[in-house]
Amino acid sequence: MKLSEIISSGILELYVLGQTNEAETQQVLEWKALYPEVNAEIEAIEISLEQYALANAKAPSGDVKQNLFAAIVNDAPRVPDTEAKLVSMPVYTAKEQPVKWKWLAAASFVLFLGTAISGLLLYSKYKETDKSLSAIKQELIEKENNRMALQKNMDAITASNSLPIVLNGTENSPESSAKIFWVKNTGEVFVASSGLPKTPEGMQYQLWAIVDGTPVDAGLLIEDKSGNKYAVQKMKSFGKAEAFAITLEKTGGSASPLGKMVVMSKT
Amino acid sequence: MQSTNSYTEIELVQALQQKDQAAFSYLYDHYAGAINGIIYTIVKDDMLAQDILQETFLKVWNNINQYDSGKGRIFTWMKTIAHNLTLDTLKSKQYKQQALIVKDEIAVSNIKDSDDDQKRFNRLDLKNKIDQLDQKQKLIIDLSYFQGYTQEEIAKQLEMPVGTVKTKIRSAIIALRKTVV
Repeated sequence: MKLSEIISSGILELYVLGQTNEAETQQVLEWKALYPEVNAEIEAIEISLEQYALANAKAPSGDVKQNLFAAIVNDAPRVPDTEAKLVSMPVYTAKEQPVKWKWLAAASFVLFLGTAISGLLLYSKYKETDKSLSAIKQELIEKENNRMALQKNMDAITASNSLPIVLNGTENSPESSAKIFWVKNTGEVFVASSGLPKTPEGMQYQLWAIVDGTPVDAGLLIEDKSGNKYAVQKMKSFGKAEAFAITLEKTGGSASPLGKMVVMSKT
Repeated sequence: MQSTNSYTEIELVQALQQKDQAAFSYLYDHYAGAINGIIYTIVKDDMLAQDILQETFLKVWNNINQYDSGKGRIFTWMKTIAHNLTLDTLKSKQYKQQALIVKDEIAVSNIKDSDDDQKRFNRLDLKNKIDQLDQKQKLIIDLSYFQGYTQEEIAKQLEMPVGTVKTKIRSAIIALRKTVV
């Protein structure tokens, strides 16, 4: 085919439009490589259609370019068609494995020893702790009992039915004083004796309730080893009494008052 | 990311094959509108056209090393990619279902022209020239180039023998060349 015939045949236009079949396409590509005129003609057709497309352009929204560059932004320059690299993984040979087992066995034995020793140490420590805990528990129980007794005394004093009675010093001991709390509905009697002088050796204070003109034993005031009396001590209970008095008796007290009277309530 | 560089066709292709993003930006700025126009002519749907446009440029970027300048200009290659993607989309089941829904919304177009004034003026000038083309010639170019109709389809559409379509196409393009050069 002559050059002018090729150009005028219309096949170059069809080629650019993508409407040539495979054989025709191959033919055109041959001519294109062979004749600069064919090449130029094809380019002129392409450019004219390109211009036509540009003239009919429709601007897309800015989002498209933004999305596009977001999609390619991590796409670093690269060599085309690189093949995937083969990375060899370490392979354990039969010779290597027993060595590894020995190390593992040694390591686990050391680990076992360590665990056993620390277990023993922990057990003895636990025993010690348990012992001291029991002691503390016992102490706590005692303290709680004391506290409850004191609370009971305090309740008696502060209860609405509690009647306070002042015991004034007698001629024998004008500076002395004491206080009685008499719970009317239960008859319980509590004595606060901090106003009494220090108890002389071999002696003990004794409380008396005067019932129908006769002194009745209401109990001994207890002291601890250092000679301190209880701030408030519960005594014997009385449904009725005209008065209360405290005498200084020999240790252990008396059935009826023998010693000198220290304090007495108003009758 | 407005490209400021200017490239010759050979420089542009070389830069693209080096995965140069500035070159890609230039390519997009110059041709996205034209490619979008072609896609839109076929799908008549802004959103769908832009989806296909995006896919087209992604394919261009990813397959730039398959482009053979011996076969033609880069735009011709890009246009072929766009065309194939468009036809694939129209054939896809998903699109056929979607098309039923959006059919009524197609009329509402939402043109955001981001081009600068000079470019728009040049295009307007070109458009005026092209408008002087014979209506039938324009139609032939539209059908063959934009819509990708085969000679047989064009013959059927324009009620002419298939044998004459080839010459009609050639004379239409010759007329086009006279107006744009």
